[in-house]
Parts: sequence; C-alpha cells; structure tokens
Amino acid sequence: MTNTPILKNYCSILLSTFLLMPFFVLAQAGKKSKPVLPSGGYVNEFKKGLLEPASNDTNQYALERKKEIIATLSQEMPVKLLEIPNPPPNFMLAQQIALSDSIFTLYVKNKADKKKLFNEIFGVYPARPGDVKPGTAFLPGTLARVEMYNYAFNLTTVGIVDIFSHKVLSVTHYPQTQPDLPKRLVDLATTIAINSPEVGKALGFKPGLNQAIMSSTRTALNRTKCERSMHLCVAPTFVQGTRALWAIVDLTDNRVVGVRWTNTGEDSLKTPMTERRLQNENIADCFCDKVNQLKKFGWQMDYLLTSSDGLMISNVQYGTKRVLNNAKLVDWHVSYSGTEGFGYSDAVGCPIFSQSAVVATEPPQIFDLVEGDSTVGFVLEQKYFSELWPAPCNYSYSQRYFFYKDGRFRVSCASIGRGCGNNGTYRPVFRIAFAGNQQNFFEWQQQGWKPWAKEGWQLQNSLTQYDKNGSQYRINTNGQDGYYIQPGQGQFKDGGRGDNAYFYVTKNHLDKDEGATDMLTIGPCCNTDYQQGPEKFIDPKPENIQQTDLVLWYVPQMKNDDTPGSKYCWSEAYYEDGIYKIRAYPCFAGPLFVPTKK
Amino acid sequence: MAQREIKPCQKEPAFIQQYGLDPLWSALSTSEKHRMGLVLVELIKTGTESKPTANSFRGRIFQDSSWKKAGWLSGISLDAVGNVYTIPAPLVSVLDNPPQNQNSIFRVDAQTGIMQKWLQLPLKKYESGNSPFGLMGISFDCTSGILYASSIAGSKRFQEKGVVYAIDALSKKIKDSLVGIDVIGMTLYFDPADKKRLLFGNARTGEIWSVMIDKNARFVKNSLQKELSLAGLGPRGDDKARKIRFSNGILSINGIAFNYNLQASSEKPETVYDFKWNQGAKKWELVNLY
Repeated sequence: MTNTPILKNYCSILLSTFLLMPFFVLAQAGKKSKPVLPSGGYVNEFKKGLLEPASNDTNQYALERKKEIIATLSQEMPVKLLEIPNPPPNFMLAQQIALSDSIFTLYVKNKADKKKLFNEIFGVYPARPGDVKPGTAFLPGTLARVEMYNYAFNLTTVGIVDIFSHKVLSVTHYPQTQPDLPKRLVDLATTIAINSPEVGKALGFKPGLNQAIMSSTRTALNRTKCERSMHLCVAPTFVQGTRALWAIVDLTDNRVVGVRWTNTGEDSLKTPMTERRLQNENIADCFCDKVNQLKKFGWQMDYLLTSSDGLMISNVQYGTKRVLNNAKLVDWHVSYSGTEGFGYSDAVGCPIFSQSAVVATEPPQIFDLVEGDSTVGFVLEQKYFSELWPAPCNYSYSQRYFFYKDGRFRVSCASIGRGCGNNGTYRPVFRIAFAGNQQNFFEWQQQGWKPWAKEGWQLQNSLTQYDKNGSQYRINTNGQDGYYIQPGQGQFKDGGRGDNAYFYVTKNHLDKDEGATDMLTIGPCCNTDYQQGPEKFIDPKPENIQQTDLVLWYVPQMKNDDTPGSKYCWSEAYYEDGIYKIRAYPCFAGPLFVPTKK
Repeated sequence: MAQREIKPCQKEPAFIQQYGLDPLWSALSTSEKHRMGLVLVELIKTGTESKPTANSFRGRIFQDSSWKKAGWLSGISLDAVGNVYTIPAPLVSVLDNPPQNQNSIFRVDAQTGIMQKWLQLPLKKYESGNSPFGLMGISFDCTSGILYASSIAGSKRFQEKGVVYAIDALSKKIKDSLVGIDVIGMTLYFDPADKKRLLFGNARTGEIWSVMIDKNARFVKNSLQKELSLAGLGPRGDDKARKIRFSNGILSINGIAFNYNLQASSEKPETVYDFKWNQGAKKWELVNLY
C-alpha cells in the first residue's frame, strides 16, 4: 500500500493535469456569442472534454510519427518496414518475402470496409527451433521469424520465412497480442514519457532518456497491457530510491495513459502495472477514498466519487451563501421498447469495490467555461465507461456540473451510447438537496407562481407552462431568496433535445435517510411512467412540504437515435490514420438553476 | 503419480423428467440472457452424436416459478442424489439481488424441483465500499458429501475478508472455514501424493492456490500453497479465475476481468488457460489458451 506523501503526490498530479483547460460551449439562450465547436460531430474517448476540439500534439517526435503513419498508409501495402543500422544479411529480404505472402498480409486491410490499417514490422530474428514444424526441410541458417503488429486490430502476425527458397513456411495470427518492441519504438515510448507533464511533476524534474531504466531488470521498458483500450502499451519506469514510477505509454495513440508509484519490491516486479490497474487504483485513491475541495470563481464545494451515485458535490457555497447540501446521480435506467421489460439499471461511480456497472476510469476534470471571448464559469465533469464501449450493449455516461460566475449553476448528464439497440430510452435519476430548513416550492402557471403544498411529482410535456425566461419551477430556500428551475428544452446548445423530465419534490426528514447516503439501485430499468424510484420517498399520504427541508428529484428522458445526421445517445467507431477511433453523440439533459435575486 | 481430478457428481435431478426431457439432452443454466434465475434448457440432437456438446442447438426453456426467487444466480453444483445447489450473484444492479441474500445458498430439490433457501451463511450489514458480491464459488465433493462455498461478502479494498466454507450437506453444519482470502473459482483434486486438495483462484491477484483437506473435511492450513498465476497472461493480463476444472490431466481455468464492481460479467471476454503439471519441474505449465 502506498504511503500518504506518495498518495498526495498522485492526486495532485491527476488534478493538475486537468485543471485550467478551457471548455467551450454555446451561449445560454438569449446571449450572443460565437462558440467554438469541434468539426465532425463529437469526439473520441481520449479527448480532454466531450465538446473540446481535438488538440494536435505539436512535439517534433509526434509530428514525425504522424508523417511515418501517413507515408505508410499511402503505400499499396500499408506496412512500415523495420529498418535498423547495419542490418544483418537478408534482413530486408525476409520482410519482403513475408509481405509477398497473402496469408501473412491477411489483416493489413480491413476486409469489411477495405480500409488500409497501420501495420509495422517489429522484429526479424533467426527462427527458433520451436518455430519450425518437425519434418520441414530447410538449409541451416536460412529461416527467419518476421513479427508484424497491426495497430487497429491489436494483432500480432508471425511468419516463418525461408530466405533460400523465398517462401513463407508458416504464418500464425495472434489476436490481442503484442510482439517485442523494436528499439525505435522503445525510444519513442520513452520520449513520450519523459516529455509528459505527469512524469515531470511526479519526479520533480524532467528525466532524460537514459533514466527510464528499471535497474533490477536492466530494461528500459516494462511489459504492460492496455486491457481497456486494447492498444499497444509499454511502461517506461523511473526508479527513485526504493520506489518506481510507472508511466504507461499508449503507442497506438502516442500518449501517456497515467503514472503511478510502486515500491520496488519483488512483488512489484511480478505483478505488472497495467492500464486498468493504474486507472482503478488512482481513481480509488484520489477520488473515492478521499473528499476533494474545489474553490473557483466565488464557488466552493466538496466532491467525491461515490460507490454507486456518481460524482456527488456537497456543501456547495456561492460567496457566503450555502446553496446545496448535495447533488448526485443516483441511477441510469435504460429500457428498450423492442422487448418487454428488457433493459438495465446502471449505477455509475467508483471502479472498484462499488456497486457501479459503468465506472469512472479517468479523474474528474475541471474546465473553464468559455462563452465567446469570456470565461463565464467552470465545469466539473466525470465520465464513466463500460469496458468494451462502444461495442453494442456497452455504455458510457458523462456527468457535468456547470457553475457560473453570476451564481447560476446546472446539473446535467449525458448518455454517450451505445447500448443494446436503437430503440432505447435513458432515464437518469438526479437527487438534488438544497440547503435551508424553510424551503418552499412553486410551479409556474398562467397566473404566476403557484406553491406546492404537498409532496408530489409532475411530467414536463408539451402543455408545460414556463415563465418568460423558461423557468418551470422555483424553490425558495430562505424567504424570497432561492432559484428558478429551467428544465432542458433544447436551449442549452449542447445537443440536448429537451428533457421531458419527471420532477419530484419530497420532504427531507432530518431524522432518517431520505437518499442522502449512497443508494442501492433506486428503481427498475423499464418503467416508462413516473415510477422511476423517487416516488418511494413520497408518503402514501403525501406530506406537507411548506417551510421545510426538501429533496428535488429530476428524471429526464432521452430517446436514442442512430439515424445518420441525427444520432443521439449514440457512439460508433470511425477510421482515422490506419486505426479506429470513437465518435460520440451524447444526449445531454439536466436543469439550470438561476438565482431569484442577483 | 500425477494430479487427479475429482469428478463432480453426475447424478441427474429426477425433476427433469417431469418436464418430459431426456436428462442427457438437457442442461441447467443460470446464464441465459434476459432470464433471471435458474432455467432448464432442452438440447436438440441433430445427427448421430451420442451426447450434447457446447455447440448443440437449444430448444425449449423451462423455469419453475421458484427458480426466480433468488434473483440472478451464478454457480451450480449437484450432489449425489441430484439436488441442485446454486448461489445468487447480482447482474448489473442489486435490484433483484438484495444484499441480505448475497450469502445464501439455494437448493432445488431433486424430486420436487422446488427451489428454496437452503443455508444462510454469516453476513454482516452491507456498507458502501464493500464488495457488492457475496457467494462467488460453489463445488460439491461427491467423495465426502461436503459442499464448498466461497464468499467475498464484507471484503474491502484494503481488507481481504473472504471465507471458504466446508459445509456438511447432510447436517448443514459448517465443518471448517478458510478465512481472509477472496476466492471465486474452485475445484477439488488429488495431488501427486494422493492427498485431496481444494484448488482455488484468488479474486484479487489472479493467483491459483491450493490447500489440503483432511479426512474430517478440515483445511490443513499449513499446507496452503501457491500453484500458479494468471498475472500477465492472456489478452488482458489481469484475469481472475472464474471457473477451474480438471479433465484428462489438463487443468483448465476460465479467466475474466474482475474488479469488485457490477460491470456485466456476461459481456466480459473470457479466456481459457490450459495448464499441465510438469512432474520434473514440479510446476504447472501453460500449454494452451483460447
């Protein structure tokens, strides 16, 4: 187990990596500004924010690597050959013989879409005794073993080549397997690691190439796996005293996945640090087992990644005014109309020792919120993934809290597909508890604000009435002081098409748990009516909710769509530079809270 | 002498015939998509094959109403008279698998086909941050009438609190327990010295351990030994042993990713690792994976 100073160091690395990145959104309704939006829909999973434009790596080594990839893909045979200084005899010939064999090159293009995939020869070696089938005739010293890696399919192909007869004797394809790396890729991985801010920050200095050495193994790289992304990964490791810093480098995306300290004991060497282990342990250490504090633009709050209620914010304060006791995302209910009762109740939250079905694999991110040329607030975002997303029946979700400098805030979330079909409806369940013991709740009607006297629920639909600013409800938390509540009607310009939300107001008894602690699954997947779970907190004889402590529950409904041009709550793989990346079409929903008094 | 398997009880439950099925051409399953609980699946004979295979066509599916009462289930083990023991395991959510049932063993009576809670193993109140699972593995030893069951209820990130129970199926008494280890897959075998051992997979590390069992069904604690590890093997490199079985001298281990969360295990890729005992080197050697 890590000691406290190490832990503190990790967490600050994770946080600082994501702080202060601008987050561009379209203006709120009624305001004029020129937004910056990514072209080509939304983004793949590795971009820093869901709406952030892709940023290109401008490091020289990244530019050169990109050139190599493009040059390789421009060839009829999209395979980068292995070139080394002073190659042994027949080194290139062995590769050429291998590439002339149609079985060896079976997967260099995708048969389904005819796309050229990025392939690279990783090694050419004298064949090993076990490589040759018994009884095979050959001249001594004429057999070579050629190893090729396919980045798109994470596939290794091994060909045994007879240099004398110019024939390929055997070919084996190994799915989900990576060969040993050639020196130039070892150097590239190490270069990516030493240039990464995470490594520099963890070590306290920018290391040199020759410092990425595990002294006990005398190798520059440790083998590792990126079992989530199924990419080619290695782990340059930096030893400092009795500790080792593992930097997992993804050579498919050419980026650092994460860093983590381990003690350099025997066990540490036996159990490799892999992508999943590194991500899970970092998230658990820094965000599940630890409450973080955030202060920005007059706002301050605690936040914690829960076991099954998503990212919970608590003790939220704006200036000197306490605003929220807490807010969280209790459940995602996903139902499919094609099969009666088919769907899932997904909890989101911590990746290990949790009741979550879709888990956090990356730290929460904090972005500046930019409208036009102005920074108007900030966003706290947490994303969640199923292991095989975006494969069918796997899910990804985003949870976003927006905080504006002027005191407004928004609680929102999105499904990022892909689910089990194109007939799905997503119903996330928010629980929002305002601070104050003398709250009152109102609904807008033609004649003005009408108070709710009893616990209850209501569906936002085509007959719903809003005030001139789009507010449907109002909560007074202290006298006339409070917030207008504006449900999504497609006005937030984040792709959301309207929330069609169920809204519940329940009394918060201070002497019993009204859902404030981590909740087990609140409701079934597939109810299509108001019975999403919060109704359980409405007494058979609804209680009076005037001048008391309240809990608000908000359940928007988003129907997915895979129609080209209007994809929604959806994601898919797309081809780029010889590999497949992920494009997402999130469906955001959630209400905006606007202070009643400026 | 080599390692020897202890075959599971082959006695088919009498109730299968009540459904008009040939016991040979039917199977009990807890992993049918969209079917919670235990089901009986008819297997279709299409040619001259003498027994069903994993690829046999599936026919009708039967389910007694009592077979759903424990929610989603995982392991199944039969005793010598055809009683079916099974354990609950939440699938995606705990809605159908309340925490109070996570350490309960259910049994389907061989004659009546009715499922009832058979034994409630010790269970503390669920706390956030605990393992969301309880019972994980089950294996009936036909040579002794002992049911082995592993539970990880109450295990926490930094406190491994799992227990393997040895339960006398006749008296329902716990004969012994192995405390402080989280176990998923288990099987019984005779080691080269002809001693009975329980072979089990650690839920945290991917290591496979074994412990000797004496004639009184007690674990010989000082005989605990590590046999092999799945760490670094296969496409994921961090698999844990979901299922372990012996067949013709080959130790087959079904490995999956397991991280103490409710990610749907049915959607998880699974790899089978075949090991063979190398008597000379005195160790297990990986001979195949698929």
